[in-house]
Amino acid sequence: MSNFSFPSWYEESESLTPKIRRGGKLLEKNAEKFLKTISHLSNRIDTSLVSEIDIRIKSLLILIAVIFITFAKSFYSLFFAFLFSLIPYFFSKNAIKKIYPFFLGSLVFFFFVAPIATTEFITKGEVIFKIFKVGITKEGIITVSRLFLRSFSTLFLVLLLASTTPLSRLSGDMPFPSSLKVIFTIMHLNIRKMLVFSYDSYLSRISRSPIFLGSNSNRKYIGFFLSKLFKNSLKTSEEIHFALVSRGWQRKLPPKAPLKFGLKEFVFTAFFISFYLFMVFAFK
Amino acid sequence: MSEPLIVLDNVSFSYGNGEWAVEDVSFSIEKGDSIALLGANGSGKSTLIKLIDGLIFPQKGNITAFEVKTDEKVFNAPQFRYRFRKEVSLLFQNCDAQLFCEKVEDELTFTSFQIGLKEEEIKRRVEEIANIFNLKHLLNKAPYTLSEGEKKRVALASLLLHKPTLLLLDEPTAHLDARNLNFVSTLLKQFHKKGLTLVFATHEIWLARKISTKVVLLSENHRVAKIGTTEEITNDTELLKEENLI
Repeated sequence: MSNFSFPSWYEESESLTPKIRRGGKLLEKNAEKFLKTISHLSNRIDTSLVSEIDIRIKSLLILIAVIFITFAKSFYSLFFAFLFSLIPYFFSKNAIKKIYPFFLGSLVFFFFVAPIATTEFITKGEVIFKIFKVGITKEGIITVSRLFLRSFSTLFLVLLLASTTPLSRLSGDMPFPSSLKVIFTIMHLNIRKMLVFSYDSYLSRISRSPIFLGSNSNRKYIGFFLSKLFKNSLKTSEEIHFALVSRGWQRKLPPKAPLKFGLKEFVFTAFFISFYLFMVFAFK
Repeated sequence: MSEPLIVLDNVSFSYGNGEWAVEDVSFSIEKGDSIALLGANGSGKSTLIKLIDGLIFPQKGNITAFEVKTDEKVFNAPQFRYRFRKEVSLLFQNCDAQLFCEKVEDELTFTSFQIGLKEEEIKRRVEEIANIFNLKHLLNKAPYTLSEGEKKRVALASLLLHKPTLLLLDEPTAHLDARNLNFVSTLLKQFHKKGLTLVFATHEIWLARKISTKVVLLSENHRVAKIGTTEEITNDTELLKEENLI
């Protein structure tokens, strides 16, 4: 192979007709941003107040909040619960960056689906205005608003847990059956590797692309790229499992961290519980 | 003196963990250079390569590319981005990360297609380069099913197809067997003779001796230990020992 002939076209001059695009479309730009964000954040150490609270206390409080949000009937309690679910994010910039792509994706999905529920065909009631002969009902708008508050408060709380807790603690400290923990252990090792890998793939995509994502011919590469990440994650999971077995893994998991209930946990719990108790009694 | 393609001026970069991955690095890449970024593991070679390629941006110092002082905003300008990506190509250390298309053929044509080369011209180049790189039988295969040597050959061929001016390589000989090692190093030397500017990160002295004319020696404290000709630096055994390279 070392005695190769040199490509004939290498020293020829060439005339190019550059196709230069000015930026990509919103969703495609966000796909790029998403890859950049998740991979960048894998390098960051989160030292915020919320991230330091014991995972078991955080999950129990979030479970209570989700039960309240699921059964709450008053519009006001849902509205305040929604605002309350945003408060912890003010203490962690990393968490905001992490949830941003998920939030945006859910919001786009919501705005595709929700308008249908406001129509007179789905929710009967008083028609307040019409769009292309389709009546929009007052009850429909209320239903959709409730749905928005309910689903997004829940989403923010669940994402708070995921975005402020290291994956290892999420699987290690929670009272799950050990078989589930084994799966979590392999998954979290894989995700950690995939984050580094996705960062490299993201950089490679930029390095090899003289134009922005966005044209029809270019759009398919996001699909290729994501499917490749998925295929590789399967391969990596298998390799991680082999490596664990080969290195004498006896399915022993790292010991649970002792339950921490200091001043921070006390203030966080008291604040959380007082808010939801107030909500239960204030808006029946 | 030939024109500088890229100039690094006191460049420092941190991944946000409170430590510099690269600190106060200054040197220039001139047309026709073949520069080895020589350093032990963790000395900041890969980070430096990514900084030169405009994939990450320094927190301190400046990088000038094609006489334009660069930053994220400059790289987001379509005209500059087009020119830079056409002129500069990067071979990643991990080929699995680099190759993202469905078929080897798509990999080869990716950048050439993006920069607007005509279809017949791309076809002609692919045919020839597939012969030279012994890839003809792999054109319809998925890149992730290939061996490491094959992946490296595909990655290199895909970068050379659109004739970049500057080729950056991050550990170009990592994970290669003897035959592929010889092929890649000889190929790079030949392309350099034809005028291709090379900058490659490596910790292998033999590779620096074979391909490079100039060495930027990075120390384990992420700073430049010495810049000099390949002969001068690779013959300084005391310095190489000090920098954990022999």
